[in-house]
Amino acid sequence: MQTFQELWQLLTGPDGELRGIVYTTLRLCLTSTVLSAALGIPGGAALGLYRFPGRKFLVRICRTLMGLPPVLAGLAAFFLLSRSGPLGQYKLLYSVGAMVTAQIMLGVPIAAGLTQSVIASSAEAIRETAYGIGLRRCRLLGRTLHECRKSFVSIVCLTFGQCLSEVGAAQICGGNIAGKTRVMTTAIVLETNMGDFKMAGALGILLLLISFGIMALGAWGVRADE
Amino acid sequence: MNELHSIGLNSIELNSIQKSYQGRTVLDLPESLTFLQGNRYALMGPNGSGKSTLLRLIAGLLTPDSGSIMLPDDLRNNCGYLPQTPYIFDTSVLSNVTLAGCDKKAARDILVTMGLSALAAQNAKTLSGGEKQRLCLARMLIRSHKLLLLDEPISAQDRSSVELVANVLETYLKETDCTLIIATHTPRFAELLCCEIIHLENGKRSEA
Repeated sequence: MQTFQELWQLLTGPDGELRGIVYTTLRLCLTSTVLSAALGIPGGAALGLYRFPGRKFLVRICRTLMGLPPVLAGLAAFFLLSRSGPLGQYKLLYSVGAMVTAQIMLGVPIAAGLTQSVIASSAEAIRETAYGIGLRRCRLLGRTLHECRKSFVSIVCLTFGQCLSEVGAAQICGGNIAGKTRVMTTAIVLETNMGDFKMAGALGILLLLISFGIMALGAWGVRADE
Repeated sequence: MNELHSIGLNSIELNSIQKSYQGRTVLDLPESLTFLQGNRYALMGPNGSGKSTLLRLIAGLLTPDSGSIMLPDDLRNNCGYLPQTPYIFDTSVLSNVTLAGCDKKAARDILVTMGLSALAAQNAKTLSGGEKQRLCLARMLIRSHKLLLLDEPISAQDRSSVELVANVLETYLKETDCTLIIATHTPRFAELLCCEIIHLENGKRSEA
């Protein structure tokens, strides 16, 4: 109980460090989720709906990358954005932008792979029915996406969950700089290393509450649609 | 030979059709099979006898491993196909019908005919199995077809609904003069509607 009181005081008190960490976390995760969904969902829809050479290979790659360790994504983004890397000129390393880049590498395969699974499972039945009633091809695409809309909400929530919970990529690309790139997960690691388990635990609970809030929002969206 | 011909004749002709799935022959009709335009045919036989495969081949959803299917362009372009488990769109019953490309008045009329008018505003996913089946049939019959392929359209219907569906189909067929090929397990339904019954067993044509 005392921990919660301390947490509340830190959140509402004059020292804005924790508020800054929460703000950076939300900014990072929401940006990564929106970009991952924007890239992954249309890509996954194309993989689920259309037949083209190399599709199976792409699906396998996607499935493999769904289990990509965050540390590895962080390392890849680090090489990409480091001074000698191909995107070094943008000087993004140790910024929220670098963390977003790493999280997109984690989020896109999840969004694409899940979208592909969802669409592939219903596309055949929808396609056959649409053919049977003479639904035009252009309307078929729109209709299929519309039919899967509730699953898309879950996919976005899962992608957000991945971005919120990962620590390896954020640590490598962000560097855990106070007031700049420190997010809740990297702060938890830091507090644990410093032996402040109470604070680490409180941050963990706050992280869970944020996750719960976002998932509840998603569930409310689905219910509202129904 | 693995080709799908399209000819200008009025009949559908299947020549030496063979179709396999994963090494298992599901349809093997060495003789030719002709469906005359305007006639009504019932495909009967136990599960796995090849009825659905035959319908899907005629609809053009599958291609035969060997043999040919000669289907007039007129029929191909005006073909209505009802799968065994049709997809119900996650929207109202009325919208499910209007999706087939008709106005709301016509949709309401066919829902009255099918005994579904009271459910028009309800989400179609919440209907019972029989109601869903009648909705799918309504969605199909809203348009004028020259070839109707129905895969077990009454499998979830009770006795009175079977009569209703048979009457609705009878009226539709008289109005449109379309060719009907129907897969069913109900002999009475087949006798009510069809002039010829084709029996299939283990993918081959058999005697009754």
